[in-house]
Amino acid sequence: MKGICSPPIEPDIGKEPRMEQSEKGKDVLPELTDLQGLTVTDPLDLLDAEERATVREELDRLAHERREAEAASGTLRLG
Amino acid sequence: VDTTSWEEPEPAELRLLATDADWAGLAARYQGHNPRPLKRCLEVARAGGATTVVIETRYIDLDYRSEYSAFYAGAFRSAPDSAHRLHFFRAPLTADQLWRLPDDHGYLGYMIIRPSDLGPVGRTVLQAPPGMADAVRTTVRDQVCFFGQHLVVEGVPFMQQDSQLGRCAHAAAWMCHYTAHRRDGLARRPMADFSLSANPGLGYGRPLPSQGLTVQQLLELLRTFDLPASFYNVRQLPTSRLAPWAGPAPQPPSGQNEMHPGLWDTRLIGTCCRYLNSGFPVLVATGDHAFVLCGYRREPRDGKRDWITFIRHDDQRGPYLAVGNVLDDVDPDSGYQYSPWECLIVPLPTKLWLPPEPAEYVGAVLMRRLAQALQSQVPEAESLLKLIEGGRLALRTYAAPANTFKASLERGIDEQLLREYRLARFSHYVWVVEAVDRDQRKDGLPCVIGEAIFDATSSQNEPNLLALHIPGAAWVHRTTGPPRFPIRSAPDPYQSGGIGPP
Repeated sequence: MKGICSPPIEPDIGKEPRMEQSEKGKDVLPELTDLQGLTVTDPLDLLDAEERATVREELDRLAHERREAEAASGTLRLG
Repeated sequence: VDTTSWEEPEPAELRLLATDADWAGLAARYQGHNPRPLKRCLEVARAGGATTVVIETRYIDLDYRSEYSAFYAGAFRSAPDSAHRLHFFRAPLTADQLWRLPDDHGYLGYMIIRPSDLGPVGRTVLQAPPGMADAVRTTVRDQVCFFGQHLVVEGVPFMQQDSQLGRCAHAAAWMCHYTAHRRDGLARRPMADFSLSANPGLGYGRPLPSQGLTVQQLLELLRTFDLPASFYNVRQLPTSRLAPWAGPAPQPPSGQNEMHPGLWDTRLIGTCCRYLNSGFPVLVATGDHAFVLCGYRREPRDGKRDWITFIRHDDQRGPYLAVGNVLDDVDPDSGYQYSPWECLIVPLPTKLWLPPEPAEYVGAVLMRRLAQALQSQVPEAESLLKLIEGGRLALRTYAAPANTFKASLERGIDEQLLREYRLARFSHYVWVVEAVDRDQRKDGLPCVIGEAIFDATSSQNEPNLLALHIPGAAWVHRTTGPPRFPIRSAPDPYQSGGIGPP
């Protein structure tokens, strides 16, 4: 049965977006003032190689400790 | 508990609670073998100013009915199949007001009473006693239908074990689960399910009458009830220093290396607080008992670390009880020795995959590093470094649904930053690591000067940073395109977004 109020759907694939690029986002988020050329794409990039290695090591250690503690949950009976 | 004429008078009995004798009479009416949970519930209602109790004498309670069906219906001795429900009001009511309550009824909450000597106190939600309310952090809003009128109470759910079908572990798990039911809309599980669904292969002996649950049974039970739990063994708390500038990890007293960490390891406190700041109850297991932490109070002390007093619901002692000293935890009334705590079990929403510790660690590292990188161009950033140098920066970590976090931003946060946070794409749950000025906190002033926000579905090996804010500037990720940076903001401290006072 044909829908009485559903116009045929035109696939959008391959079509240009209807909204102009200049209309996107600009009215929602304000322009930000540059900090003399300083850009931070990812704050982790602010760490040097040694600091990054330390962070990775600490995270690995935390994860390892968590796994060990869970494995030792034991057979305490609470009642 | 006298069950003679249990369902009379119909439909209810009203008692005024004006004198000690009135309260004693009510306690005597329902006293079981262990009177302490009932006694404490009545103390809480009395402290809240109750002057009237209305007793519904045939209340079909989902939890008791499930226990009746699963256990009591099979016993030789007859037991009523209904419960009593006690409602406490601050206003002195008369019988002819019950069908149309006055506006100022002052509803304080309810208690279900099972017709059982072994564990009369069933599902109970009572307002926290005055003076303790702001320390209680896992409060939920419960709606009650009272003779055709909708009443609301805010409190932490409590229940005593019935000692047959359920023990302390069942009651503690139920308290956490009912909290999640009311807080997050998790499907309700009646009390008997906590016994019937426990995997007997992970425990000992016969499942009924219950002798308790093993930790593994408890963890498995919570998982199957859509509340998978985070687990901490107190003997193996995370050893990493979560803030790079923090002092050395606590050590056992000199010459007592074998001493149980539950008697000296203060990291236990922070571990519990991160979850309580998020409104998640923490189930604590001692050697043979389980209870639930539902809040804490911070008390500053001159020249010493702040003192933390936890609040617990103990099914064998009652709701809203203060834990004087976590590391030397003794019940002042009975002398019962809770210490040392053995493990912490924290039932959590399914999608809270990232634990708080990696988030706190990376948040601390990055807030400091960003402040160092920006201090020449954003002078306000230096204040964070000065607080670290002076030992005056604390971290406060909590989880929240991103929508709740965004909705609660009207707490003194700079308008520009508020707009950026509200328009940002965040995961359903986020972990927030706040940078807190200890001096401002001590004086009861707005004390948060920055935060790091993490995607709660990210890996513990690589926490995904969603936003980073230090005094004067912020960075906010975008799922498409470059991040928003530098977002300039006023450096003024603002209120914490975690639950309860920081």
